[in-house]
Amino acid sequence: MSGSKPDILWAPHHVDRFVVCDSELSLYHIDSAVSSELKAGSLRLSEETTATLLSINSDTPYMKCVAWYPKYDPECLLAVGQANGRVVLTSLGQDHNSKCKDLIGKEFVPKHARQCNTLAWNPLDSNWLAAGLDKHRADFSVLIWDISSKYAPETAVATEKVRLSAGDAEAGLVVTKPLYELGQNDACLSLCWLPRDQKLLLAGMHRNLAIFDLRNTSQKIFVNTKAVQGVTVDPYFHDRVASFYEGQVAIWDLRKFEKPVLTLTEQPKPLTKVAWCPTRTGLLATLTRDSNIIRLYDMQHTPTPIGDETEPTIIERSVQPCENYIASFAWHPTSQNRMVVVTPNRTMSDFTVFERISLAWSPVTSLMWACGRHLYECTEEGKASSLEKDIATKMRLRALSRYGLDTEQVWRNHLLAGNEDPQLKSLWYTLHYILYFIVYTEDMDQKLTGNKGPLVYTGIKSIVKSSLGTTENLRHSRSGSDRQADIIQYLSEERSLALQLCGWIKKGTDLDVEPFLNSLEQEGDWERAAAVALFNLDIRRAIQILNKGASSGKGDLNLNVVAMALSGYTDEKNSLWREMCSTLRLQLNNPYLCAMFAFLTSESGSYDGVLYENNVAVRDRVAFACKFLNDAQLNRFIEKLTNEMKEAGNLEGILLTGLTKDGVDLMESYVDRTGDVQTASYCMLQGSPSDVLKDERVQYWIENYRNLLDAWRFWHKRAEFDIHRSKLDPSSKPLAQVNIN
Amino acid sequence: ELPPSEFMQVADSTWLVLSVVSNGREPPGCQATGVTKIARSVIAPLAEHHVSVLMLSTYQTDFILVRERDLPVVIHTLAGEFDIYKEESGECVPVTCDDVSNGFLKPKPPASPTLHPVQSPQTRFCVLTVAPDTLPAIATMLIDVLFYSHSPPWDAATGSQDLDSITFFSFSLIEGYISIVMDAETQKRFPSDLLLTSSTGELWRMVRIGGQPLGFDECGIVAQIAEPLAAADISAYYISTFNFDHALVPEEGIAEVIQLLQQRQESGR
Repeated sequence: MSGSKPDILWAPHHVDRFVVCDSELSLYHIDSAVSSELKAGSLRLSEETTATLLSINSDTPYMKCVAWYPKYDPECLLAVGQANGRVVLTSLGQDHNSKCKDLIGKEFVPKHARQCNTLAWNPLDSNWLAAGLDKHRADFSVLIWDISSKYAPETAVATEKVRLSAGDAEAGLVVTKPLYELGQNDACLSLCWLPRDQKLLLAGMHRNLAIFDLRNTSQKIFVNTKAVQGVTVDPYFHDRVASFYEGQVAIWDLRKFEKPVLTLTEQPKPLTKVAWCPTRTGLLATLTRDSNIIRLYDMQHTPTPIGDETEPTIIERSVQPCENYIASFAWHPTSQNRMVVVTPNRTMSDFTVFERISLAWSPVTSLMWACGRHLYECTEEGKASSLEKDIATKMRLRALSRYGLDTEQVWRNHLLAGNEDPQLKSLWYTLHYILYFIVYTEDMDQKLTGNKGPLVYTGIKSIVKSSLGTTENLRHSRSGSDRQADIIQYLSEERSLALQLCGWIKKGTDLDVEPFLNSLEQEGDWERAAAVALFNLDIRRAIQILNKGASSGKGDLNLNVVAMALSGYTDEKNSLWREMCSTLRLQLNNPYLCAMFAFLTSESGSYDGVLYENNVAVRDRVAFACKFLNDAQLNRFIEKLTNEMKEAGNLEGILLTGLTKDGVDLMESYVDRTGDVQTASYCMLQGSPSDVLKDERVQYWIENYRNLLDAWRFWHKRAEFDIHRSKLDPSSKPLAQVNIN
Repeated sequence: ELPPSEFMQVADSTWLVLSVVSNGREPPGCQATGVTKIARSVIAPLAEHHVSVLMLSTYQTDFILVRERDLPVVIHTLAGEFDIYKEESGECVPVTCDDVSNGFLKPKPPASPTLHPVQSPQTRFCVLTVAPDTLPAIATMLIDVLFYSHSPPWDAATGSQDLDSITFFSFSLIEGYISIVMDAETQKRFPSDLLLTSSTGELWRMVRIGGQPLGFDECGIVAQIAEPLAAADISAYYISTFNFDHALVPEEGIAEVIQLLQQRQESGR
């Protein structure tokens, strides 16, 4: 510390006091700012704190270095080293107990006057004060003074010769004989007591770092180095020491003292101060001359390696506490990462170094983040409706309920998924019907086999493509109507297969939808049942269903009204009924009722009102198309619908694409939209090995799903999935043995 | 580089600076400092090997200057007892002795070296240092003393040399450290709190060696002074200047020193 630039010291035992030293010592008291206005005489240090000047001591104008008495009592005793080598004890506070009075004003005078560079109180035996002075040919430069020693009478020769300065009128206030004298003929630039032993002193001498052992002063351990300034011991690792020379900092391990463990990046300008943070392990702050930046080196995660070739990694950061150049800084002894900096014109500022934040996600949507000594955990609220939940949560819940693993009644899987997603319902029913068809028609006709395996796998699009030219036309009348009306229906084997896949009819060429209607009635899906009945040209049955629906427990009484409207059906093209129904139907809420009236009021052959009613399930629209559209129209419609499904990633379209490459495209679109690799894996596992399973997208989904199960630590479920997979895809059997090297 | 000028005489060779750094292993109670300390270990051996030395003692330490061309001999001579390091850009590099140059010893001069007369003025000197940042405060006074003080030129009639006072003032600035030797009267002209010296305020008396300018080739001059002092265990500063050598001994020991040095004349060494 030179006389011109101020230095700053925290009180070791009072966390709200600090001292600024330049040509005089000024004691400040830090307060948290109560309001935004300053009290008279307060200086603002930061947004939250202010400092008030408590006292000033100008007794020692030639001070070169200052050290604060480390014990609690007396609290404001300071040792000041001067340019002429004298160390004087002085006080700053109002504390006037007797212990202190003896000490104040005591001077410790070396034999030959020269500059005192550094002072260090022994942290354990607080009567010992080490002073480091400049070189003299006949004198020692490290002097250990005992501050409780009286004036030594045996140096009687020196009595007359000691030049007492004006204030020292009393004998006993000047001490000339130090307890120990070390370091002959060498300048001492910095000092630090080693915490591990009361009697070990680390000194930065002119050309080497030396450890003096006061138990045996003739021996010393030393290492030749240039980095001799500012030695300071890490308060958390007592074997780690930092020192610097010019712009370079060296970190030493005292256990292996021959060369520094690490040298930090060299700075262009010389350093003025280096200090370990007392509240956080492994943080070193350095300040260069004429700079407004304090560099922080974070060594927290690197134990000092001994004898390793690799350098430990240090994270380097810079902080800028204030706008101006900084003269000096001091870490707060207890508040984490807090420091006070002082500028050359004595403005001070209180600054806290903000720690880096580290984040960790758990596999189960909870988040932990850490900053300094604080740790926060955030978890997902459990009250969101299931549709709004994150897909990972949904997949996890489904995995817990063994979704996908029901291989008997495959459609039940959608119930395991919570029965909330209509697309999943459609998907699993499609798969169910496909498999049902395979299982229950072992003796199926050969011509229903495409060139890539059973046709049923390939989706309705391919099915109807292959049915070109084999369609019979039938003319039917709507049963129950008064007049004959000609509705053209189309039939073929492929169309009937399609209808089976849509679920309207079971196996067999009789187009009996009665079982389907019964099942819909049981579910309470009255409108849909009525529409299906109507599309099968049975008006009476439709009315019957609507009546049943109205009178059932949760039924809507309006269904009776709809039934009445339905019963007024007439073929007359210009009737009032027709006109009213075709316009008013659009105001019906239920899409199926809408579609019903559209069917009844549309021209034969142009059924757009039904086909493009988007809220009617895809399978119902497709089944309708298979019945009432001719080949060309059917193909066009299916093509268009398939593309729509693929773009939207709508799983209902699997019905159309089947488990083919097209289906993988659609599934890709679905996964892009939702991220549901779980459904994708289970679904595609049912596909044919050559076509689907070898697709790298499918493999990717399967691997991802397995990794997810592993991340959630669902080891058993992952094993079940592997078994399920190996049954369907024999080529994917995992290794029975794993070798670990 | 200073430009050549008729007012300035420059010695012919380049000189290298040696300093002895203690390794902290002196036996306790070793009081001798300065040239006395190294008399036996450095000065005498160098004299025996016919190496001419100059010495400069400062407040901080002592320096020995040898000619650059004598360096191999110096290293060879001292390598036995000392570890020798060379300072290269701030680092200390060990130097090993080069045996090849062992053959280039100078022919031995006649057995008895010249015995130089000594003079001791009454002036009392003090050895001081100044903190570098206070140097501006005394700069004016320094310049005044250095360049504007009145002293008789050295080549005035030797017979009438005034033995009671020799004007001597030394200022050295070495590696940022300042060392000043001035007489007690001059010291009073400076502000007292800026000049730092020993706390006992000890004063020194000077012994000037040589009646004629000593030149640079003769060896053994320091040795003939240092050895008697070492034998009597008296500390001394030793400053070689262009013309003469000066030894500073503690004030209270001056009588003994004069006596010792005159004894050496009588013993006809």
